[in-house]
Amino acid sequence: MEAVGDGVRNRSKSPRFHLRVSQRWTLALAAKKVVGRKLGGPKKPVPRSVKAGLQFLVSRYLENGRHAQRVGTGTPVYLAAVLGYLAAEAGGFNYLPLLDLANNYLPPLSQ
Amino acid sequence: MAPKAEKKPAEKKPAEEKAGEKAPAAGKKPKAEKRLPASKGEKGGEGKKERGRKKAKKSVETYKIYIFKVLKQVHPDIGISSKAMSIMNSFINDIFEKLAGEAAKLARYNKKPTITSREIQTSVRLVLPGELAKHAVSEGTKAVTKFTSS
Repeated sequence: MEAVGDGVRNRSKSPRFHLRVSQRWTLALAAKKVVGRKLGGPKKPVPRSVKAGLQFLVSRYLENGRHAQRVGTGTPVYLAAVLGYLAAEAGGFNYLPLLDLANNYLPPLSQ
Repeated sequence: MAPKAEKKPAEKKPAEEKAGEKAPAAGKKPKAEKRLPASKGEKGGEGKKERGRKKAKKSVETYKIYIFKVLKQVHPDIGISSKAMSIMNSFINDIFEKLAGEAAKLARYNKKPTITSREIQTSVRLVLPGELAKHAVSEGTKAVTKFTSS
């Protein structure tokens, strides 16, 4: 019960694997309600970018048959996260020498 | 190398100009025109192609609005010029092709028809160097975990 409380309070926290199935389900329902409420209604379809907490589009670019016949569920989510991270790196932070050329176009004001 | 050398001085000035302005310049027509297809791409849901709503205009899909969102996350006060945005868009397309191509090769080597997140993870480790790969794998795993639990 405490674990469920902690999970509900800290919304960014994902449920751990050692929780029981019922507790995990409760957490999932709570998360869905929160996400649905933010978007204005539980019945509306939730985009996968919001589900994964990403800014980049979780899209079907891989599913045109050019790369493989089938694509797993987590694949576009993973790829969107990596592309978003690389965009943030190239656009914002300035500590990797391999991206010096990209960093020259957007010098950050701080850090 | 010559065109890159030419691009640097031209782009620094608009970046400095836009640093002063918080709102993007509405007066520039090319930027306004470029954004409309991007917004149409977003309205189209999950990047489905060939969705012209007004007068059957073919929608052009870019990463520009997403790059802008990420920029606002990292530096809320900084803007970005249109040429820099095009360069970032090309960069994202390039990395996407590299990762997807590598994942396709991995799937073929193992005689499997499916690209899963495991293939993408291995591709990230192969394509990106050093710490960059480590952090990218961490970000991807975190996103997939959050996606699965929601």
